Amino acid sequence: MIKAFTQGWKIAFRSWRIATIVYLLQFLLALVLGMMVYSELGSSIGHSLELKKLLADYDHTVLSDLNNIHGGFQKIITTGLPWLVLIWLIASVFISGGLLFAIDRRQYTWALFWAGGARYFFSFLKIGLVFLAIFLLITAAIWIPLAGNFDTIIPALPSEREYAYIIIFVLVLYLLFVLFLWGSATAAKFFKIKENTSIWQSLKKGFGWAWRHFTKVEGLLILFAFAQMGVVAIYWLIEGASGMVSPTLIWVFFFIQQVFVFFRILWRIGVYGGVEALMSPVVDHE
Amino acid sequence: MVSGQVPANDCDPYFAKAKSVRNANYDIKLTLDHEAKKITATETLIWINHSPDTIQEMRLYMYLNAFKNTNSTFLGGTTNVFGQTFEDRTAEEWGWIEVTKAVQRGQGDLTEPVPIESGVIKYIQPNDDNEDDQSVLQVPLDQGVMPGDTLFLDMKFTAKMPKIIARTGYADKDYFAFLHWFPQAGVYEKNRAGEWGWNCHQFFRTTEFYSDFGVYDVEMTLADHLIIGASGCKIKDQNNGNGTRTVKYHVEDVIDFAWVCYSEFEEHRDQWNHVEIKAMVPVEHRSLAPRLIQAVKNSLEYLTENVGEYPFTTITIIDPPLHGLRSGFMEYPTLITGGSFWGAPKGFRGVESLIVHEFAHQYFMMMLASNEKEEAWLDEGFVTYYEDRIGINYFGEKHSQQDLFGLHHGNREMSRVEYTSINNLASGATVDQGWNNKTTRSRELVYQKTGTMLVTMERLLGLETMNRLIKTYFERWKFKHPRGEDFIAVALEVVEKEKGAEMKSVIESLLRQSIYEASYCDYALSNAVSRQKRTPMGLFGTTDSMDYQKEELKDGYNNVVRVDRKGGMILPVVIEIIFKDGSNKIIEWDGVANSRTFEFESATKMVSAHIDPEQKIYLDIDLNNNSYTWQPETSVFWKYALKVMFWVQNVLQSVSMFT
Ligand SMILES: [Zn+2]
Repeated sequence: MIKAFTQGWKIAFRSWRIATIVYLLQFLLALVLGMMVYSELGSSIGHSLELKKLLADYDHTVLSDLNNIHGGFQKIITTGLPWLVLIWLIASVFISGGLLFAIDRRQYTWALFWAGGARYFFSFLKIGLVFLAIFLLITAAIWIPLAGNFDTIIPALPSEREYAYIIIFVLVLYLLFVLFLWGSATAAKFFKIKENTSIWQSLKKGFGWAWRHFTKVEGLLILFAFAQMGVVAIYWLIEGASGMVSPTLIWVFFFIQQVFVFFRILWRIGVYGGVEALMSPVVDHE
Repeated sequence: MVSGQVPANDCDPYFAKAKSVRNANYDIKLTLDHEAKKITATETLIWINHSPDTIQEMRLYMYLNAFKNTNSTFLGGTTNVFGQTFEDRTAEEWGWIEVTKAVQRGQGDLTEPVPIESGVIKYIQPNDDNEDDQSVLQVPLDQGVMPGDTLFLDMKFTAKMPKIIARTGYADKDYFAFLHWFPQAGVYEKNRAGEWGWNCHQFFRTTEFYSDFGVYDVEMTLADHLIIGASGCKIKDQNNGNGTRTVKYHVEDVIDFAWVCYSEFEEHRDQWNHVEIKAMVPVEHRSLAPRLIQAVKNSLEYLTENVGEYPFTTITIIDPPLHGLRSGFMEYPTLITGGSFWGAPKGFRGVESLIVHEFAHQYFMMMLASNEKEEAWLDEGFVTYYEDRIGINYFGEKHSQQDLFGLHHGNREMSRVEYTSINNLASGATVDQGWNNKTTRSRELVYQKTGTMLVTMERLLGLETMNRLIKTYFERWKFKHPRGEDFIAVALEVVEKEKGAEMKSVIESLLRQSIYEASYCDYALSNAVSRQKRTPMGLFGTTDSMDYQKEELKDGYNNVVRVDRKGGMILPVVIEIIFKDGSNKIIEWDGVANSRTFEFESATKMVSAHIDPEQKIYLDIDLNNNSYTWQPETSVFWKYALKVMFWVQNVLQSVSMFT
C-alpha cells in the first residue's frame, strides 16, 4: 500500500507533460468565468470609491449591494458554472482515457495520451455515467433523509450531541464509500484497457477487485486524501496570514493558487497510478 | 419591604416604590401534571380601573386556544408556522385553555360560578369574523367597576399545553415553556382618536403581545425532577415530600409572567452589580453558559450607560434544548429565551446576538411597553438597533455577527443588507407591517429598516445627541405605553433643542418617510466629468477675413457632476468633490429633484465625486453608486476574477472524480 502510494507519486511526477495539458485546459475554462467577473465588476461598480474597501478586506456591504443591484457574481456563477462543469466532465472522460492508457503503458507522452483519450472515450463515458449515477443516488439516499427529518430525529435521540456524532459517523462512512466507488471506477477503467472487457464486465471486475482488496484500496486512497488535506491546510494558513490585500499580493497569491491547482492535478494522476500499482504489483517496467 | 421572605439563595424582587400604575395584578396558584401536559390553577386578577368609564365587562387574552385546532385565527389559512408543519398532530398534541369558574369578589349575589356554557361568559372576535377563534374571552361583570375602583376577579382555569408550534408548549423529555399561558387582561385605554375602550386583540401569527403593568405572584406545584426558570425572584421553595415541590415567584412592575421547566436544566449563576443572572442551560450546553451570561452582562453594561437603569434584580436566560428550539428567540419580563446548539463554535456569534436582542427587549417592550400588536417597529426596530450597537461594541464593526473560516460580518451591516435584500423595497410602510398587513408582513421592514433608519438618525445627529434623545424617551415613557407619535414628539423636542429647527425638520422627514411611507432611499452619483479649459476653436470673423483658430489648453478645469434620486425618499445630502491637488469642495443639495447637474470650475482636475461621503444616510439601498472616480481601484477586479477562477478550478477538479 505504501509502495503503491509512492509509486503513484512517481508516476504523477513523470506525467508532468500530460498534467500540464490538463492544467492548461482547465485554466482556460476557468479563465472564461474569471474574465466574466472582471468585466462585470468593471461595468457595475467600476467607478465606485467603495472598491478600495474590497482590496483591504472582505466587505459584506459592498458585495451585497453589488449582488442586490446588479446580480453580481451570483448571476455569473449560476449561468456560467453549470456549462463549465458539463464541458469539463466531458473533457475529463477524455483525459482519464489518455491518462490511464499512458499509465498502463508506462509511457507518459502526449502521443499516447491523445491516443488513449480517443480510443476509450465512449466506453469511459459509459463507465463514468454509471458511477456518477450510483454516486448521486447514494448521496441523495443518505443525506436527504438525514437533513429532512431533523425534527423527528432530534427528539428521538438521547441528546443533541448524538445527532452531531451520527452526522460525523455517517459522513465518515459516506467518504469511505466514495473512496471505494472511486477505486472501483478507476479499476474498472484499467480492466477495460488491460483486458479489453465489455463495459458490463469491466464494471463487475472493477467492483470485484476493489471489494477483494478493500483495505488496501481504502488505505491507499486515505493516504492520498491526507496528502491533499495537508496541502489544503498549508494553503489556508498562508491565505489566513495575509491574503490578497495589495496589488502585489494579488499576483503572489495567484501564483500560489495555481501551484495548488497543479498539485491537485498531479494528485489525481497519482491516485490513478497508485491504483494501477495495486492492481499489477509487479514492478516498474522502466 | 418584605425582603425577609426571599430564600437566601435568591434575589430580592421588591421595589421600595411602585414604578408603574400596577393596574393589572395576578395571583396564580397552579399544579402541573407533567404527564398530561396540563395545569389546573386558580387565578385572582386584581384590576384597577384607571379610566373615566364604568367597566361592565373584562376582556381576557386566551392565547393558548390558538393551538386548539386549525380553525383558530392563528393557525387558519396556513400549513406551517415558523417553518414547522402541524399536519400530523395527534389529539394529545393540541393545546387549549378554559376558564371553568369566574367570580367577581364582593358581589353577594354571585357566589356561584358563572358557567362558561351559559353564554354569559363567551369568546369574542373583535378583529375578524372567525367565530371559531377563542383567543379573546369576554367576562361580563355583575357589578360595573367605577373609575378608580378595584376589581377582584377570582377564576379557575385549566390549560393543556400544546406540543410547541410557536413559542409556548412542551417538547420531549419534560421540557415545558409556559409563555402567554394564563388568562390575562387586555388593555383598557384611550385610542388614537381619544376614545376609551378595550385594546384586546385576537392572536394573529404576525403580531405579538400587549398588556398592562402589575405585580405577579405565581406559585407552582410540580414534580421535583423539573428544574424551573421563571420571571422574577423565588420567594418560596418547599419540598412536599411526595415527589413534588411547591415554589413561588414574585415580580413587580411587569407586563407578563413566563416560566420554563425542564428535567435536564443546569442552573448557572453570576452577578452584575445589583442584577443576579441565571442561565438555565441543558446539561450538554454547559460550555455555552459563560457566553450567554457574558452577553447579558455586556448588554446590561451598555444599555445602563446608554439608555437607562435596569431596576430589576434578576434576569433569567433560558437556553432551550435543540428539540425545544421553537420556544426560543423570545422576550418576557426578566426572562429571555435564546437559541443555541451543542458545539456552537465561538465564531458563530448568533448565540450572543440572540441573547443581546432578547435582553434589549427588557427596555424596548418590557419597560417601554409599546403595543407590539399594532406598532411592532417600536420594539423590534429599536432592539435591532441596540443589538447591533452592543454587538459591534464588544466584537467589532465587521466581526460581531459571524467570524468563521475567514468569513466575517458585523451585526449592523447584516441588518442593513437584510433590509436592502428584500424583493420589493417599496412594498409597504413599516408601520403597517403586522397589524394592517397580516398576511404578507415584511419582518425586514419592521426590524431591519427601522434599525437602519435609527443608524441614519444617529449619524445625522451624532452619537451624543442620539443617546440623550433615547435617554429622554426612556425616562419619560418607561413603565408606560408609548406610541410611535410619542417617540417622535420626544425625538423632535430633543433635536430642536440641541440641533435647531433645520435638523428637526430633517429628522421629522426621515421618520415620517421611513416609518409611515413605503418609499426607499437611493441617491446615485451617475457621472463626473472634468475637462481642462481650452480656447475656442474654428473659424472666426466674416468672409473677408475669416480666421482659423486652433484649440489651445488653458489653466483650470470645467467640471460637471450629475446626481440622481432613484428612490422615493427625499433627504438633503452633501456631495464631496476631491481634486488632484488634494483640495476638496462640498456641495449641499436638497435632494429633491429626480436628477440634477452641478457645474463648476477648478484649478486642478477633479478626481472623484461622492454623495454623502460619511455614509450618514445608511438607509441608502445602494452605497456603491454614491461615488464616481476616474481612478478606481482596478486591482480589485483582478482580485475577484482570480479568486473566482481558483474557486472554479477547484470545483472542476472535484466534480470530475468519476468521469
Ligand atoms: Zn425581538
